[in-house]
Amino acid sequence: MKRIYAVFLGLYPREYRDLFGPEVLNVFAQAAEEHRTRGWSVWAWFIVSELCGAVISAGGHWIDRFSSRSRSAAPEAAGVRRNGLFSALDEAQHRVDANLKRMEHAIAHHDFTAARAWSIEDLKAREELRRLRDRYGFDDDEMVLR
Amino acid sequence: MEEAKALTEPVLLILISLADKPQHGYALMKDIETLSNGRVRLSTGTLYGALRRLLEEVWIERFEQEDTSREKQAYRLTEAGHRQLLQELDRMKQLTRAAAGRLRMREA
Repeated sequence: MKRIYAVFLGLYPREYRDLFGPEVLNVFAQAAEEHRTRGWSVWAWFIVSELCGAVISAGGHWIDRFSSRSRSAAPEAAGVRRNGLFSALDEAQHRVDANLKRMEHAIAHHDFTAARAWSIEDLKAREELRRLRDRYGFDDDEMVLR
Repeated sequence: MEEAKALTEPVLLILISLADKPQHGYALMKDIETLSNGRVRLSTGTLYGALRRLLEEVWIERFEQEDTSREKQAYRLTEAGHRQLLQELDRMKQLTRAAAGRLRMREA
């Protein structure tokens, strides 16, 4: 009977079998032995309920396994969104920094036309950064405009 | 503050069974039958399904007793499991009081 139950154990996810397999078989064997002493009908009922229990429980384990996978996938998705947000903010901040450097360079070389153009670009980039910050609820302290 | 979850009967019976001493799988199964006056007999699959969830919640822990093999691991209650059991008993006491109060009102 232990061998038949071992076959049913094959219905469980591998990690369950690795963790509990020998122990479950041992408990089943002890319980089966005890029920055998109580008479044929008690033993038969025990076997039927154990095998049904194994099938139902295996189903429960698979459901738990898949639902925990989808639960663990959710933070990853959130992470992607979060990473996406940070990369957008980084990009906006990078544009602000780059425009500022170009503007400083133009002023240092007395190229005031270019400086004026970069100043307009700088205003646009800062506006974009503010828009992203407001959209994702960042306080002024959390994102400093340089 | 931990959120109080209503426990299923197998889980509650396992926690009660482990309240005073560690047990291994078969002893747990027998003890649960005794605790419930023979009303509840967990199948091996149900028992280990509940044990797995309790291990994941860290309400119980598995350990090897010196005189046992890999096939006979023992389980004991953790601090979190002990707290959970006390919370559940409080919840049941409160329900019992409420139910008794309602019955008294009906009889009066």
